[in-house]
Amino acid sequence: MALLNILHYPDPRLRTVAKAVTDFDAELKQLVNDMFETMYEAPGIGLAATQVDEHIRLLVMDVSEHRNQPRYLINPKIISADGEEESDEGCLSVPGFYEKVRRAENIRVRAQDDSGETSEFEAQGTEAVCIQHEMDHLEGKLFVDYLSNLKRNRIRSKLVKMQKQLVG
Amino acid sequence: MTMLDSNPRWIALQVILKLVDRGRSLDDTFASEWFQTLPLSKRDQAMSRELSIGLCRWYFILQPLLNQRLQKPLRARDQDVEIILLLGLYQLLVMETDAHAAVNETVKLTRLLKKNWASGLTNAVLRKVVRDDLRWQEIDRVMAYPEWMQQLIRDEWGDLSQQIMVAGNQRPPMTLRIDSRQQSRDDYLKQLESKQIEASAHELISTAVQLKTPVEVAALPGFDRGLVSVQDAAAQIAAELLQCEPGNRVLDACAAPGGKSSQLLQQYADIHLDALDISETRLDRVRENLQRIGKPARLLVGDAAVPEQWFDGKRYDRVLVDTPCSASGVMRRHPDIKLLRRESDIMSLASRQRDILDAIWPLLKPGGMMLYSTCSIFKNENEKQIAGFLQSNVNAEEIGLSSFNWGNACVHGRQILPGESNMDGFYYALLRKSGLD
Repeated sequence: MALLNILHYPDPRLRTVAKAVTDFDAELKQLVNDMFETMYEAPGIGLAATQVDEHIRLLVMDVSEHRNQPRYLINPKIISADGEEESDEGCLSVPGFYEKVRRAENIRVRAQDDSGETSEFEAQGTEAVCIQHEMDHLEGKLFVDYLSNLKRNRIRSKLVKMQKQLVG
Repeated sequence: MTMLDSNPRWIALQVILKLVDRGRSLDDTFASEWFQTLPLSKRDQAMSRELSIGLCRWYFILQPLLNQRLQKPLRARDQDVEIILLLGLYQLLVMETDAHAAVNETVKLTRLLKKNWASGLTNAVLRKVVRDDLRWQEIDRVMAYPEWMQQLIRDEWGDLSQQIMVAGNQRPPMTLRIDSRQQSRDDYLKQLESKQIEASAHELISTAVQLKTPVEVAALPGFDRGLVSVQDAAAQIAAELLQCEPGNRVLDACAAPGGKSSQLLQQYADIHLDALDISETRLDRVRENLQRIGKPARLLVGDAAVPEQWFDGKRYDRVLVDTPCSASGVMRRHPDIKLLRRESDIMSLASRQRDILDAIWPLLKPGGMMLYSTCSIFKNENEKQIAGFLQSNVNAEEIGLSSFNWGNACVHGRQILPGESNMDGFYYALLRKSGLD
């Protein structure tokens, strides 16, 4: 097990579009475990492979109250969506900022497990929001992209300033 | 993705806001579903507790330090900003968090509140604190109490007031009560040693063991079987004082969370105990505690001052009245008392205590005994309370507690001051009902 380094906005690597997972091997299982450890430690409720500089279609999450229901999705696809809800989202790659984002309220998702087995399930509420947020990462997209230019630029410059201070 | 509730400093702010806005005690908040199910790591949960407890403990020292550095006072509706600033000061001065992290993380909170105007202010004030190079050790921090409380402690305890206030600011020890019917204290100390838990026998109280550093109760050998309970040494004296006899009907009139009920049942094998509490949810804690020690009692829900709600007409041989009080003797354990109490609370608590005493006294058999206790150091709740009660009840006589080596004799009863032999502040008075009813 190992803690992985999380990329921070505006790191250009966060803009990479992830490739489909084709090798369901031990290395993949190891990455899933490491991503869970990183997510729980951070702590976050979801983490996409993109955020740890691995550009494959994989995300991990746990939206349960007691932090004891880990779930991971490989090559996830949203096959249907309805409803609309707005909630405060934050991101481990945009630390310290929370903004309202509008998402589908109910989604139906198809994904694979670490042996390549495909299944489908429905998600609502926070879980649905989290899946959509993480799947955006796999497309190189961040929640700040939904905000006004003004807000996004303000967040960007604050994070750049903080990163400079950390390096300095 | 993250949730706001994953930030331990943000959570500490919410905990303190619940305290100052809604009068919710830290213990109640920490035990709440909300706190228990936050998406926080164990470490961050501990940090949010440490921040909340520490801020309460030092609030009345940190607030003047902050005010000296503000050009104009904050508006009442910006109390959240004030708490954020105080949390920043606490991290810089007491926790000695890295200055950079403390300033950045604190400024971040103002943005999370969407009070961006406060970011610059927070940054400036905290940087000034860093520049001023204040040393916590060099700050006079004895008077970490609201003004009225300092005054009252000084008025009532004179030369001892300094010592009382110093003790009330300290971190409390974790103290265990050994059920000596099951196991000797020496044997239990050996068991702790084998688990690498450092502990020592209490100097005065024969059932008490003090841990060097607190541990989770699950780590204590035999905790789940009732070999030990967590209870301050000062509270462990109650059962011994009440001197129960086999077959006695005993009432614990304000039983929750059940520490003293457990103690009575473990010390006296064949008593019939009624454990009464006004709160049904708090009575659940009593139930859990009694289940853990494996001793039965009858649990009653009701107001001790209104026996019609719960009394079955059979009078008691022994009664323990461990009344609701200001908790001024246990501020080291519950530093939120410093912020929660108001001066006027003392008289209303004293009057509530008197109502309970007046209602319970007739339920005691002639020849029976009542132990009155509080975790207060204020005389209106303690010796003056008992003086008033004795005056209006000719069939009440006080049994002196002068032969004990703990605490201090008062006009009536006996007072343990906070920190004495590392105990909580506690008051006991023992009364007997004369043959006349």
